[in-house]
Amino acid sequence: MAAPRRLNPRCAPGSASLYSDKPHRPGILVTHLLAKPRLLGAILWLAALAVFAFASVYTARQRLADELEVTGRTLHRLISQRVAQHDAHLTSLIALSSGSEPAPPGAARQVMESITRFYPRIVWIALVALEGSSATLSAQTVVAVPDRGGIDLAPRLGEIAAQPRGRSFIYPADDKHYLLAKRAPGNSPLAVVLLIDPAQLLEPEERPTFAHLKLSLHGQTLFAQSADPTSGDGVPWLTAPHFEKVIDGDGQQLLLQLDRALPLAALIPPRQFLGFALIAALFCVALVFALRQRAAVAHSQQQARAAEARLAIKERETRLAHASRVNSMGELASGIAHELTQPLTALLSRSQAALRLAQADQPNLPLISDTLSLNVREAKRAGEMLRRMRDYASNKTPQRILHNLNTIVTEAVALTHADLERRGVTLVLQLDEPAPHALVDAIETEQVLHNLIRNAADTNGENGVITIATGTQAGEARIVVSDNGPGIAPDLLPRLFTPFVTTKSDGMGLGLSLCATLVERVDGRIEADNQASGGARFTISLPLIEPQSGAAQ
Amino acid sequence: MTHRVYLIDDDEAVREALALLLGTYGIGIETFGDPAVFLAHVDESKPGCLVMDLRMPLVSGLQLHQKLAERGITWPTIMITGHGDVAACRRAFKAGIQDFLTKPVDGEVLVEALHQAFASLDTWLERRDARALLGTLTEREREVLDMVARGWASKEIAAALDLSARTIDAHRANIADKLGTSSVAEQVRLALMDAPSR
Repeated sequence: MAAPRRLNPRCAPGSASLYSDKPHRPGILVTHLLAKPRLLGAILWLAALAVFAFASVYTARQRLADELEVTGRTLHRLISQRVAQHDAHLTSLIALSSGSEPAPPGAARQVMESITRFYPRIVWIALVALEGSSATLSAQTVVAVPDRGGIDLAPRLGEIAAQPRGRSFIYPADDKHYLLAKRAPGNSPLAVVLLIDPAQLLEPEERPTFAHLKLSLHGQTLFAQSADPTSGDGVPWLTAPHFEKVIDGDGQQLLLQLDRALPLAALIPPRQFLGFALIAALFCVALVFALRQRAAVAHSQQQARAAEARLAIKERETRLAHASRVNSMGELASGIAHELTQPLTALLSRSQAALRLAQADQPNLPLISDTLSLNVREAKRAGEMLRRMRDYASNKTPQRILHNLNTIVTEAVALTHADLERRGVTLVLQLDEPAPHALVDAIETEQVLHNLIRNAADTNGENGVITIATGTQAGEARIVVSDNGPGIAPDLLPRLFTPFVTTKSDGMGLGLSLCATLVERVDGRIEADNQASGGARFTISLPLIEPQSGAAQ
Repeated sequence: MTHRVYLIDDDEAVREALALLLGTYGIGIETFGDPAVFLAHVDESKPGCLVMDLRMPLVSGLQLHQKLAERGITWPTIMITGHGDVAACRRAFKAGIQDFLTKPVDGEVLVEALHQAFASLDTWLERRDARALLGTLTEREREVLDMVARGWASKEIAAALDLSARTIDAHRANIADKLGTSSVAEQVRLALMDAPSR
């Protein structure tokens, strides 16, 4: 049976590597990633999320810190104003109850009561007279509102008695309150003391819910309010915003502190984050898709280029093989011409000499005889030379294998396809099924077809149509190559396959003669005629072999 | 009139056949198979026409022609070749070849070409002899002869050369003596024969 034939035996396997593109690469990593679009997409997506999270945390922290700062300053101003009022109360009460004409205690009480009524944070007001020296120091309450309540001033008396007159001083009282004291000017033993509930320095609605609020005095916490627990715990990896400022209302050295936790939800709003993640994911998927498309297109283009290049190479090789055959035929012809010239020259000259001798008045018959004998020998010598050359020329035997002629036609057509397309020549294939088979040398037969197709294309020019048909007729396999060109001149037809007959200005006239030689070597024949419609027609007839007969050599 | 023919061709059969053929025309021929042998044996005193193959091993016809010309042997040459391409033909004619024939060469064509070559050789020989005769003249005599050739009378020549007419007449007598002819026309012919080479 037909041996499996390599379709392209002349195309070296390495030749495709000519077209594996090696362009300028931006970087191995990028190239590597571009080759894996899915990985690249995932990495880009994660990177986008990270950037978003970072930006979100950064801006949110800034915003939250700014908010805390603004709140802190507002609270500080409020508290400062209120603390300043305390000082004013002390001053007016001292002014009322001391001096050259002190108001009666009843009037002082009235003022104190109105103060406590208007300012609930002032829990207790006392006007006291400090008596005795440092060791026996005691305080005589002159007026106190409310009468009961208040605290024992004894532990602080020493400090109060020692403080400079005319200025307020602040002292821790108990867990929840502090004292504010001021001594009357001059030699008066009087002093006014306010017991203040710092928790009421701020109205509940004025206190921020988002931050931990703390008022302290000399390190002792007087009031603290935690942030709303619903706002969540702060993240441990970020320094929480902190606000701290001393309220320096004339001796009342309270410290206001605000701390704000940074919960994750506030730093990275979940809904925005999810939204961004979704959009980014869509983008990445689109990118991956686009990259894959691009890669697929590039791949198929590369494939197409490689295929085209392979065909071009194969065509070039076939053309080269043909040309070299024609060339060697030309060389051979030139060699034959040279070798024959000398004996022919001798033959001609000697014949003419013999003729002249014979025509002489007294012919020198022995000389004529000698001359003719020499000519006979010369002619035999030339004939021998020709025989040797013929032997030399025909000692290369074709590789005859049973072949599907349709396949051979298709192969030969593939070689010229690109060239024909360039020239605007249309090729029509009419391949008979089942395909005819014959014992031929595939490469040589392809060469013959290649040559016929090119000849047809050369004479047809643009808008030419070349038809190649396979078929069987009268026990012969046929390949018919016809065209719609001007046809073959009738006087040329009989000697078309004779060497050195050509109509091409640059042709040697060996192409068709070689075709005939190649076809005849495999017991076939090639004929040329003109179709009724005008174009030329070349018919290759080969002995038909049925593939199932297993007649492969 | 026929002259001697020298045939230089590396193919013995060709040499022998051409010798036989030309013999039937009564043309004497000497054959050489090797250009080097011919160069060694050629005798300037036996001028003849040359027939040589263009393509020979070692020394080509054109090279041989060139070497002969260097020795002053510019006898008429016919080139014969099996490769009659235009370029070779052109080169040959530029080199001063008389004729260019392709092998196989027809006997009549060759003989006709040879007769033309013989005519050329006649001229060549005449010119050579004329040159030899003219060479015997003194410089002044040659000067006078050139003026005679221009058609000047003795008086005019005397005036031009600032000599007496009698002196000119004496020169002219010498010229006639040396050239072996008192015919002015013959003297002029000889003088002109030398002209192309001057």
